[in-house]
Amino acid sequence: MAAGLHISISAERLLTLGGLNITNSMFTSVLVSLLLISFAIITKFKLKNVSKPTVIQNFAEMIVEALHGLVHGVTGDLKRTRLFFPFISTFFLVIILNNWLGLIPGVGTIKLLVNEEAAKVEEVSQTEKASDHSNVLVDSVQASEAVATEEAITLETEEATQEETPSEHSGPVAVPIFRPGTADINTTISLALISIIVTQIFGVKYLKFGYFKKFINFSSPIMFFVGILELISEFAKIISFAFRLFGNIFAGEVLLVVMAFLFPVILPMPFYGLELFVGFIQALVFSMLTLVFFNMATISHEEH
Amino acid sequence: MDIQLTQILFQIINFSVVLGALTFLLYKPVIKIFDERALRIEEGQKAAELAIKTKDELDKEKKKAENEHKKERAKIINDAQEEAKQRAQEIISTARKETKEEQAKLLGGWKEEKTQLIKEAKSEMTDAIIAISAKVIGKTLDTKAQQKLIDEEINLIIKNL
Repeated sequence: MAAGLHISISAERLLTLGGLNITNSMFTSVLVSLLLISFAIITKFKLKNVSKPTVIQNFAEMIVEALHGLVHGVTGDLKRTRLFFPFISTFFLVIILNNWLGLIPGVGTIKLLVNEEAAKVEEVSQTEKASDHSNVLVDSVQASEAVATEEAITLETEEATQEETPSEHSGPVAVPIFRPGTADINTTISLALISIIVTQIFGVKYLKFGYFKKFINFSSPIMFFVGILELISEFAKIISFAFRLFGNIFAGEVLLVVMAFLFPVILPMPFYGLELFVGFIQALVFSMLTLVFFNMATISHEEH
Repeated sequence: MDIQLTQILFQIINFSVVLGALTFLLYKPVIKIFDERALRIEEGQKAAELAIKTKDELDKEKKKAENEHKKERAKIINDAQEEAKQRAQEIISTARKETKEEQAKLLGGWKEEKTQLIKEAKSEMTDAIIAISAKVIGKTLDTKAQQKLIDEEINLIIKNL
């Protein structure tokens, strides 16, 4: 039983290119990007303004129309819709594809043998970062319970690492090639950063320097305090965005792995359905929250 | 958790590339098509509205023309009927007049002819009676007396006719 279960809270390194560690989540993210870009290129060449569009054009129009309608429903202003739409749509498509790619059967089981040196480097880096036990290779069902809280994960990781270290690094380590990009905290942090930075840019674009009144306001002591809270909330948004998405998707991954480990036939099926739904909802939540933040940043206090 | 700045930067660049590619290859062309389609639909709607308006106007004009034609037709028929009546009366009165004239003319001619015929008959009968009476009685009667007697007899005959 202990041999099959493989859960790692952080993305695992596949190879190093020019000093950059290529992890399995990066690989999957690039794959998703290539898929999206390929679809966009095919659509671009198939697009024709005719009364009977092709299947691909219909599909592209369906997606764009639905997302455009969603954005326009919130902004209610065509100029804002056209400005926000590319960001919101790209967030949605990138996140949903990353979420769903992890559900394709075989994605977690196609593995690459990474040499011992790489694994050792990994181990050293983990030992140096005493407080940061990111790579978890758990050969026990108990690890699934550890997903519930970060503290629990850390404790289980310490135990697991202590138990498994001698056998684990004795030879090449099998690492899954694919891992959903959104199941990696680095991806979700980068998405959250983009969302918040672009929100500030749009705020300044629409309200000029008046946008900063939200954060720095000396009109009254209360407003000054509110400004500080607003400033803190901007940083809180990054954490909230990143950990919500990462937590939901990673938890789903763990749930599926554990269910498949306990009973590989039939039992995981409802959970796959659930994860499909969660993947969609998380993409929608991220996109909608970003859209609301964009919209709020571009509306002045008086207008609001 | 292993938070690495290089990976975050990589993901930001990756997202930016996808954003740019999708914006220029997917969103803009599709939205352009939507706009063109919306414009075409709007133009179509305007043309349809204009066509409906024109049709309504034409219908109104047609109805107006029909009404005018109806009135004109009725007027023409009335006039024609009036004229026909008048003409008929004229024809009838002319015919009556002509008939009366013809009748009077014929009657005048007939009377004259009758008088002439009677005169001739009287003369022939007188001659015949004179000849017969001369043969019967063996003498010739006085012409005036004979004439008077004959005239009386003939008038009696004519009266009895």
